[in-house]
Amino acid sequence: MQNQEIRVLDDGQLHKIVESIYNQIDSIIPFAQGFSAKPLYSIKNAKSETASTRTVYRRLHDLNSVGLANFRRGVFEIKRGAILQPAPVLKKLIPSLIALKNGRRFGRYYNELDINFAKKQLPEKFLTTLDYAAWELTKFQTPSDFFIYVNDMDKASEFLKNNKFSEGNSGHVVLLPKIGNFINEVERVYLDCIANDGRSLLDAIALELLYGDYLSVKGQFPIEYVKKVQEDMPKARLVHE
Amino acid sequence: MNDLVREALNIVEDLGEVVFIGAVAVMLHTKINRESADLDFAVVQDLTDKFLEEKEYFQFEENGKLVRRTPRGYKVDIYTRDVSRIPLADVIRTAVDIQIGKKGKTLKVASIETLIVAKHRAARFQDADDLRTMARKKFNHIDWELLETLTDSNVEFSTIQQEMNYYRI
Repeated sequence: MQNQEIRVLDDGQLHKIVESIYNQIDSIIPFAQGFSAKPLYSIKNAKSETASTRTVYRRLHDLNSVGLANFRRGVFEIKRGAILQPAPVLKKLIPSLIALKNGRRFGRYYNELDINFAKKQLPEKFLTTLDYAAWELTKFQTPSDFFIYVNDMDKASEFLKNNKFSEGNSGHVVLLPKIGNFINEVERVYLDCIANDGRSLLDAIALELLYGDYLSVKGQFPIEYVKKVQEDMPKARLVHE
Repeated sequence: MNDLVREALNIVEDLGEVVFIGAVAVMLHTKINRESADLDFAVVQDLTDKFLEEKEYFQFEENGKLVRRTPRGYKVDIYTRDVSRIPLADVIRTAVDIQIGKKGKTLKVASIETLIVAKHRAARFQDADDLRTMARKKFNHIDWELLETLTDSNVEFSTIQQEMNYYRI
């Protein structure tokens, strides 16, 4: 949706657009925050707890439009770690959420060979984020997918397709449109990790523990996850920092 | 070879047969996954504190919690009763051997069905990612009859079926 509108703008323009997108979802955030910890939820149950089926679908559609929920076949998932963030953090996540929603996956051999190829052969400049960027910074979780921001999605995807890559859901090379602010790269990786939810939230916690001084905004995470990351983090990293 | 898999082989050499669970087990089944430098395993035979200390698997107090580490510094969680309410006997009975590398070495790993039920119950932020990976890579290998025996009820079983169908796409 809004990716064309908020692609690399000056701070004032970006702020305005983020505010307008946030205002569209502001009233339904309590709905999304109200679900207990589960991998998936059924629309039938959501309906009985809150509102009519039609209302539930409308809310999910609005959350989906900013990448905070997905639904099909009567079930839905919510990015719980992202939706539980306080408003100032959630606003900062919007460019990341929209970039991730518009990401395109590519694969050829569907293993590390694809990533090595993209790293070495992609002709245009790119910026690495999520798995590989977090691994580079924290050595906390081994990386799996190669998420990169590119200036021209069409050009990059065409290059991959010309080299026998196919677009789909399983590839490990993920192209992301450059949306929002990239001045503080550590902070951008951190925000992307929160926006991506799931295991990436653990990366966000690891980044905050190691690079807290580089962050102008900090997320909120349940204490048990922070403790898990502290325990699992290779000791040398924490001592070093 | 992945460092964590190498450490898993070291653990078996140190302690004897154990059944690996958690993210490392998902990785051994699917060949792809993200995991941190900790290893979870269930023990086939009881391991006393004395035995573990003799093997230099010492406990340390870290952030107010006792954490056990291998001699090489990896954190380990040792399961002695159940794994997310799945009795240890069932975890061990249904475990599979997975070949590592080309030298005929194997590791005993919780079955994909055990991992699915355990991750569904745990429902932490990272578990959805692991369920998605297993659905995409191993859906056609799931033994649904076995999985049903590990669940508490028909409702739980059908919820898990629904989840795996959702995640496979």
